Amino acid sequence: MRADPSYLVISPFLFSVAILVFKKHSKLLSTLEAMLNLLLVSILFLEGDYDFYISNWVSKGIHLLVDFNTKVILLMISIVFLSVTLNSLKKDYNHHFYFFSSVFLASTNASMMAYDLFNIYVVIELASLTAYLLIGYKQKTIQLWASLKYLILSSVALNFYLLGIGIIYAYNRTFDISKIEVLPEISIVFVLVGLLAKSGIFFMSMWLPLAHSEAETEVSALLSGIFVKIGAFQIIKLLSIEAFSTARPLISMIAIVSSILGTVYAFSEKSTKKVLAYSTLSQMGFVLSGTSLANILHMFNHGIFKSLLFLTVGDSVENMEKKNFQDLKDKKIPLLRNLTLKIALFGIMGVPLFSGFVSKSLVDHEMHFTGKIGLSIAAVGTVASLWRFLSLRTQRIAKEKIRENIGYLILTTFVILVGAIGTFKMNLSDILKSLILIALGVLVYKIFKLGNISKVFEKLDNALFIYIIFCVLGLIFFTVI
Amino acid sequence: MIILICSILITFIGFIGTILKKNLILKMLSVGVMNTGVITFFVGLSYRSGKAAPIIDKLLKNQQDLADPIPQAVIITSIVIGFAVLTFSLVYIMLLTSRRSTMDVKRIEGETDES
Repeated sequence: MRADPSYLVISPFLFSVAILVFKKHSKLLSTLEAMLNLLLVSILFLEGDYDFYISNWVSKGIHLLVDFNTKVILLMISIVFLSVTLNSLKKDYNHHFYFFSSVFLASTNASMMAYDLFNIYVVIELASLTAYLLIGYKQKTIQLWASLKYLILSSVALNFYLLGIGIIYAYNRTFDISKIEVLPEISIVFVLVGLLAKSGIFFMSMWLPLAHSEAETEVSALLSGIFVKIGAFQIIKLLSIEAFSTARPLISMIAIVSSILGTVYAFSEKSTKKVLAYSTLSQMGFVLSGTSLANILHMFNHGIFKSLLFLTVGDSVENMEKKNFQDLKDKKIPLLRNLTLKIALFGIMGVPLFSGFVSKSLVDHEMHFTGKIGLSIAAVGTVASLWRFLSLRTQRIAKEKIRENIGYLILTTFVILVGAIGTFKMNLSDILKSLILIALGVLVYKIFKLGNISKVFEKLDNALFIYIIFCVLGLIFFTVI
Repeated sequence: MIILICSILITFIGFIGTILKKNLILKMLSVGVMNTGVITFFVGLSYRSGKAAPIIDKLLKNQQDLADPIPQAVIITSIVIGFAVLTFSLVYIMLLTSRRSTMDVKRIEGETDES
């Protein structure tokens, strides 16, 4: 079979129809779909880049591009989706969940391949629609509110994006990213509002903490592992081309501020899943701090270990009435789950021999001096805010079924595999630096205690108002440079 | 040119509406106004090059006077998506207001913070 990337979009759509028809076999079909997706992505690695147009009859077709970066992200998506699906088998999800997740998979795959500004809008909007439905899956009141808040913030931001690409079209007569030559500043700002709101950056996507913490376990893992990567990957894709390169310092600045503020909020937070949500805000700062392959690798690693964290922690707090971390501490967790949770924590903290260490060091090499300081503070904050999860106690069960933990094990394999291969290629100074940062983080965790920080940015009206502040600041930034 | 400026103005009126309105339904309608502004912008874009329908015909004397079909073609998708988002959000607003018996964003937000 000749590998063709469009199968990655067609096959999940076909499976989603099949799931609606054969409702009773939806779990089986969804597992097959995830495995097929992983197989198709692996086949893509055998050949070179794909650069082609769909329905290209007056040379105005839709441009699709699959280069190495895209393949890495597609691999991450397929791994996370497979393990989330395998983890959902032990619970009572009905065919609606599997239908939405199939459409979600198809649209995320399509959005990573799209190289056309309007096509990006369409597939992002489709992925968002399924995300609204997935967040509100159990229809608890707070889930409905989280979904609605996200819907308002996201559709306003995407209208800005649409206005921005309209202005780009007026100047270039094309939506194809590879043919863009002239870019007015205002259109860059509008496009960035739309994409930053999707990509989980502090100030711009304040829907994230509520949606990630209130959604079901599997949905949180999908959102944090896959969904926030859509916007972030489009931003890296756009910033890589020459016309957009003036915006690189702006994004880098916002990303570093986000990575520090995210950890501060995570450190002061009491609710278990919200700690992880704020940690996502901070890690997306690491991802967007540059546009090199190192950032793509961190996106890969973050998708793996953050979805593992959400799965293990989410499964533990799922049946608890109280959501505070103190209540989780009193509970005991099965051995295998606790072990995988700890490996994911080592990954996100950047302990040598685990995946986060490799990508964090590589991102650090690319940065200029002030950026290095900012990211080091964020790394210390990550350790300080997540160290408490290491103190969870283990409950011994005589026989643990591998079948129930297979989702965790797949993700753990990749955390260790990437970490072990990468660590041998790093310098000794990187290892020393990361160990010092971890020691500082533990020190901060032991000494400091933060009370509740005001959550004023998370109110819906304020979050909307931030968009216009960003527009004004962005325009000022471009006129000054 | 004037239609482009007016459409950007409509977009910003809609955006200010989403911030200032406290009622959830009015907030969603403001998003709708914003979407309408963007659609008008695209329609205005396609009429910059000409006003005739973009169908190539031998009888048409001045071939240069055609409207640009691409913005019109793509914005149809955006209209459909806007419709889907609006109807979908109204369902969720209906469920939410029947449980909380209010449409005020501030009150809903205050209650979710306490619980």
